[in-house]
Amino acid sequence: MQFFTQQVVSAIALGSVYALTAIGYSMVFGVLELINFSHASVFMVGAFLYYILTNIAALPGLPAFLLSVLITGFLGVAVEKITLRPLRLNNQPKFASLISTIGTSIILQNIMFLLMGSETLPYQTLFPGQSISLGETRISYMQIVIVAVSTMLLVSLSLFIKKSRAGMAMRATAQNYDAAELMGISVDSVISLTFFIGSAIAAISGIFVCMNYQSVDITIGTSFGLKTFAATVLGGIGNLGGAVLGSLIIAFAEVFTAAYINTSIRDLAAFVVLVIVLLVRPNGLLGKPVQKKV
Amino acid sequence: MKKALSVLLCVVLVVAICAMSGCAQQEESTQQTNDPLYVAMAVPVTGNQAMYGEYFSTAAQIKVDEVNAAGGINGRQIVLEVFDDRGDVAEASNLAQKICDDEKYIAVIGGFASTSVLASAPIYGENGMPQMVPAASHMDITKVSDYTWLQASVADEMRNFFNMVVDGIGSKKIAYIYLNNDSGLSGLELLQGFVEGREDIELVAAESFNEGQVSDFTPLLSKLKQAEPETIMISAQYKDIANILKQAQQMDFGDTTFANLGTCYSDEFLTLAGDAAEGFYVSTLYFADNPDEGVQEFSQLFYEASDGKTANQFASQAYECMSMLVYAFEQGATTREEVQQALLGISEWDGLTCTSKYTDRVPEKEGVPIMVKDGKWALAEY
Repeated sequence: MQFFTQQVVSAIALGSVYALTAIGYSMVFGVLELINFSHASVFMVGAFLYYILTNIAALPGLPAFLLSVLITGFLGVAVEKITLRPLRLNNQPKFASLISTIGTSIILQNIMFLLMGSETLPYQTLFPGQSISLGETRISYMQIVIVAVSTMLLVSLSLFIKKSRAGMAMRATAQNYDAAELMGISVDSVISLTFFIGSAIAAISGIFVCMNYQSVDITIGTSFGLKTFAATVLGGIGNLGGAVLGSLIIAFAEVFTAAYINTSIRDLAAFVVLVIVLLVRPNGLLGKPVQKKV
Repeated sequence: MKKALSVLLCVVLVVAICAMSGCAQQEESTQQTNDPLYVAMAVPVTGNQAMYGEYFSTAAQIKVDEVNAAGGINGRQIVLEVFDDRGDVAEASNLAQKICDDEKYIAVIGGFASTSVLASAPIYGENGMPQMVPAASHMDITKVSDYTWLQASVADEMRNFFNMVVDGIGSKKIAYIYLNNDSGLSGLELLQGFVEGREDIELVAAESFNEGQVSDFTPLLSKLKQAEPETIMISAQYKDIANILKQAQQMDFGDTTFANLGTCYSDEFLTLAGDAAEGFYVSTLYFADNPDEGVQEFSQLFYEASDGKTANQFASQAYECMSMLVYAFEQGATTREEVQQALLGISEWDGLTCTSKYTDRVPEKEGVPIMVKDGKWALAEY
C-alpha cells in the first residue's frame, strides 16, 4: 500500500509539470490552430535562463525565477512576431507556419548549445534532500511546491480566460478569428498575449522539472516536449482541462508502468495509452469534433 | 687428381657463394636497422569521441619518445602514425584495410568503442596484423580475430566490481540497475553467474532503463527499496547515476550503499551529484591519486606531455598497449607475425600502471576500489 501511495505522489508531481507545458501547446492551438513545435525549446530555454541567472549572474532564487519567467514570456512573443506573424499576414498556408516552428525550435536549441555546451549541469534546487513522511510515504518539499504552484496557476489561468476581458478576447479569437477582428478585438495582441502566457508557464514548468531532478541539459525539451504534446492530444488539443487530464493520464501510465512492470518500457506505455485513446476518441478525451470552416 | 680438384673447386665455390650471400644478407639487414618500426593508431581524432583519441595518442607517444630517446630498439626508431576513424564503424573498416595494405606497419593500436573494434578486428585478423585495443572490453572482440589484444574485459571488470561489493563493502543482499542495451544485459548475466557461485550472496532485485529516456527514477528506486538491498550496483552513464543518487537522497535509503563500475570516476560527476555522491563506491582500473609509484610516475609523464591534463584509464591503457609492443620489438620482432608470436609469450604483464595476467589475449587485472570522501575521490575505505 505504501508502495502504491508513493507512486501516486510521484505521478501527481510529474503530471503537474506536464500539465504546465501542455497548456502552452493547447492555448496556441486554440487561438491559431497551429501546433507550435518551438514550445519544447522555449521550455528548455526557460530552464536554462534560471541556471544562467543563479549560477553565472549569481542572483538570488526568487528574482532569478521571476526574471527568467518574464524573459521567456517575451521570448515567446518575439518568436511569434518574427517567425509566425509575417507568414500569417501574407496568408501563407498553415503548414508553412508549422515548418517555421520546427525551424525555430532547432535554432533555439543550437543557440543554447553554442552558449552552454552539451554537458549536463547541476541545477540549484529549493530544498535539497528534504522531505516529509506520511506514514511510510515520503513526499519531498519540492514535490509539494510543484503541485501547489501548478494547481494555483491552472486555476488562476482558467479564471483569467473565463472572467477577464482579455480572456474573453482570447476565447473569441479561438472561436472565430475573422469575426473577432471585425468585433474590434486586436487579434495580434491576443496572439501575443497567448504566446506570452504559454511561454512563461513553460518556463515555470522547465524550472520545476530541473529543480526536481537537480540537473539541466539542452536535450530536456526534446523528450519532455514529446510527452506533453502527447498529453495535449490525449486530452483534446485546444482544451485546457483536457491538457491537464491528458498530462495526469500520461504521468500515471508512465510511473505505474515503471513501478509495477519495468522502467525500460515507461515511454512505450505512455504512447500506447495515447494510441488507444485516439482510436476510441479521435479528438481526444475532452476535445470536440473540429468543424471544417469553409 | 682431377676429380679431387673439381671437388675442391666445388667446395670453394659453395663456400664463396655462401659467404657472399651471407655478406649480402648482412648488408641488407644493416640497411634495415636504420629503418624505423612503424606502428599505426586508428582512433577517433575528430567527432564527438575525439577526446578519447587524444588521450590514446598522447599516452602512446610518451612510450615511443622514451624508447627513441634511449636510442630506439637495436638502433631502430619507432614511428607512431595516427589515423582518424571518427569513431565511425564504416570508417574503422576502411581504415583497417588501408593500414593492412601498407606493408610497413607491423602493429596497430586502436579502435575506441567496441562497435568499431568489432568491425575492424576481422580485417586486421585476416591480414595477420596484431591489434592492441586500448579501451573496448566487449567479450566477443577476441572471438572475431586471433590477433586482437585487450587491455580490459567486461567479465574482468564485472568480477572486480562484484568483489568490491561483496568482499570490500561486505554486502550480502545486492540489487542491480543497468541500461537496457547489449552491454547492460551481458553485465547482468555475468553478475547472475557470480551470485550463483556464492551461496551467501543474493541478488534481490535487478532493474533496467533506457538510456536518455528517463529523468524520473523514483518509481524504479522505490521498487528497489522494497527489496531492501544492502548495496545497489549501478552500470549506467554518470549523468543518470548523479540523478539516481540525488533522487535516492530524497527517499531515505538509510544504510544502503551505492556502487558503480568505472563510468562515474570523473570530476564532472562530483560537480553534478554534489553531496548526494558522498560515500559512493566506484570500481575502476585506474586511479590518478593512487599512491602506487608507477601510477604516479605515469601521471607526471602524462601531465607534462598533455599540457596539464590528468591521466585516466584510457591514457594508461594506451600506454600499456604501446609498452607491450615495445616489449615485442625488444624480443627482436620486426614483422607482424613475429610481433604476434612475441606477444603470445606474455602470460603476466608487469606494466608501469598495472599488472595483468593474459589468457587467450584477454587480461585479468586487479581493480582499484575508490569512493567519494568529503567531495573528493579517495581509495575506498569500508
